[in-house]
Amino acid sequence: MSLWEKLEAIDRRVLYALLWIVVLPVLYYPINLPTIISDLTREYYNQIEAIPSGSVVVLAYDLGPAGWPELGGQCYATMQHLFTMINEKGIKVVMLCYWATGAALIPNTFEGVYGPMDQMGAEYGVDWVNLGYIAGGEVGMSNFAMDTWGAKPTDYEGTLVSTIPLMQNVRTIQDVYMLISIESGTPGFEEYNRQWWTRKNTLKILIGALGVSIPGYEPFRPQRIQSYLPGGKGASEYISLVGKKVPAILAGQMGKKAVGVNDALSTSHILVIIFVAIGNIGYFLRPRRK
Amino acid sequence: MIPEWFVLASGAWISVFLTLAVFSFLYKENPLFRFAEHSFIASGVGYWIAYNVWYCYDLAIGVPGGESGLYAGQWWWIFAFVLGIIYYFVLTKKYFWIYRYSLAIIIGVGAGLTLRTLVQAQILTLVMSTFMNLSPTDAAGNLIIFNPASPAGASLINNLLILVLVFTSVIYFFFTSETSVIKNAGRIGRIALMTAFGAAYGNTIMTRMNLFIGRAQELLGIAGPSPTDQQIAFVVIGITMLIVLFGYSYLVKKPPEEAAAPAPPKAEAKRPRKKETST
Amino acid sequence: MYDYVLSALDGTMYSILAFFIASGAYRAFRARTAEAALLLIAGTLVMLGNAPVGGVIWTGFLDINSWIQRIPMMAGIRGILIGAGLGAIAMGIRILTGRERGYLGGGE
Repeated sequence: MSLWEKLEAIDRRVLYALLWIVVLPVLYYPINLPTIISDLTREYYNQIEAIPSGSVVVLAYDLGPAGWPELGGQCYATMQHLFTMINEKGIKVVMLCYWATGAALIPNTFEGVYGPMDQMGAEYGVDWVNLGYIAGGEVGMSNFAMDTWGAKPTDYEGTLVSTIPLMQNVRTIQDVYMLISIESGTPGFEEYNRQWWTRKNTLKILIGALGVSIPGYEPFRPQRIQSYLPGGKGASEYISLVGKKVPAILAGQMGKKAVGVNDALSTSHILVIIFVAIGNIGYFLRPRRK
Repeated sequence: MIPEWFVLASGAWISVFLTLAVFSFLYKENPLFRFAEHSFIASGVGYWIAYNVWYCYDLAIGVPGGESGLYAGQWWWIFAFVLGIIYYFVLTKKYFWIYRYSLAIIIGVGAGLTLRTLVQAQILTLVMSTFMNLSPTDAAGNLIIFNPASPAGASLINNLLILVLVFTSVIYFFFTSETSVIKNAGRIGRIALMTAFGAAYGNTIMTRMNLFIGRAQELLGIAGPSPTDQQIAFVVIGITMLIVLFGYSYLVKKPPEEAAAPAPPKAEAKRPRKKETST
Repeated sequence: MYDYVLSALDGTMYSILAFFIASGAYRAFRARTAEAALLLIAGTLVMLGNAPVGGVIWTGFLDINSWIQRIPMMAGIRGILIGAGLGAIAMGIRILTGRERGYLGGGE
């Protein structure tokens, strides 16, 4: 067997071990590669900065634990950014999710599990509210767009929505200025587009996207989606942008995670490119049997 | 009351054990992975059931003083309960047909909701945004043929490419014809699709690596509620698991005598002869 | 249960695919035809653009990544979505008019 044939026949467990080897040390001893902010991330940041005073923003956590490694930084930084906007411009934030697994992630982000979370003096029920899980998928979205109180009568803690001051002015989708959906699948943007945007065609939409979902969002940009955060790379970039406003976010776990993610992403991508190169060089150079 | 340190420490050890049990599949399929797999299905299903039952309770039964549900006098929620219970007839063979009524209502509502806005939200949006300005100009009024400073921005070449590639991609999907025009248009569409799939592959690599990096950070104690416990658990459980896996793969290996002996020939099934009937 | 069991298991089940993708890239991703070569080149350029080190090596990778995603990739996916939308309309009308009964399951 030639060298290339031997390389092609290598045990797959060696390849798995190589991936562990290039990722683990870099996470523990980061190289600290510079973070270059992409225009998508900058546009996402600018859209939130441009929210008019007093506007209502819906922050939807349509994800599960599977998407948390890539979307967790986006969730955390977006929530922190919105709280700075509550402080600066008096916007109102309504948090909800159409994935049951997203419901527990909303309070997790507050509880300091992932690092110091500064709520900037925002008052629950006046400046922000957590409605929790709304069942039904696309049907639930349609219900919420027509009647928010009817779709979710109580908030996450069981308080009647009709008694929450913030929700007095949020009865239908017409009262919402912007939707920020951090999502990892269905129901997600396509359903929001069909049920929310068609009822209010001035609704601004920002998406926190998994890398694998980017092809599904790009065709709708910028007509429907103003911008999106491109995966874990976008999360690192966004954390560094928000960190300029709230330095505590960089000192917390999410900030430290973001540094390691950049380096480990780089080494793992280089490894996959090397694998592809070796595989193809071997394919073309190996002796062909007649 | 359980002390918080115990909750964090035990949670860290359980989380690391389950993570490594799933990763043990990379070496070989083994009972640890099967245990983790079954735990995942059970906990996921239990979690979704709990949240959905709670949501139905909030909405359909409601709370005293609320504006929704049976408590608020909305008696029609009883029909929703009946439809929901009918759904469980899917588990029976004899009364399976009853469940179809409930399913038909759900599918009909879903199809109706989707069809109501699909044309406007998806098809028209995508078609209209394909026809972009074919004479984009800069601030001075000069036509932008291609802008190297903003390679993905509006320019004649980019807008024309979008128009041609979308058009030919749709032709590739919808038409099969031997005429050279349709065939060549389909070939150009395939170029766009191959590029799209290649880019999607590159994005998929980023997602999967990010997910793995997230788990690796928890194993190393960089992320998570109890870093020290996670690090200790990773080393202890990791080494123990490697020993167990090597031992397991040694125990389930075939003995050399069976591996060397040829397998007995399979008995060929005899085809039953058709009985010749006299006419 | 959520934080230490479901989170760990759900995250790890999806992250294990990273290894299979890397193994698949080594063993199966071959430029056998011109189209496969185009797929490979597009994928490699996007990977170099997505990896933070790509921008450090040469900022052109970021521009190329951006161009690939916003022009040819977007065009191809848009074609797929238009086709999928039309197919969804046809399927929806078939369901609502009773011509499509596959969703009702087997049996009499």
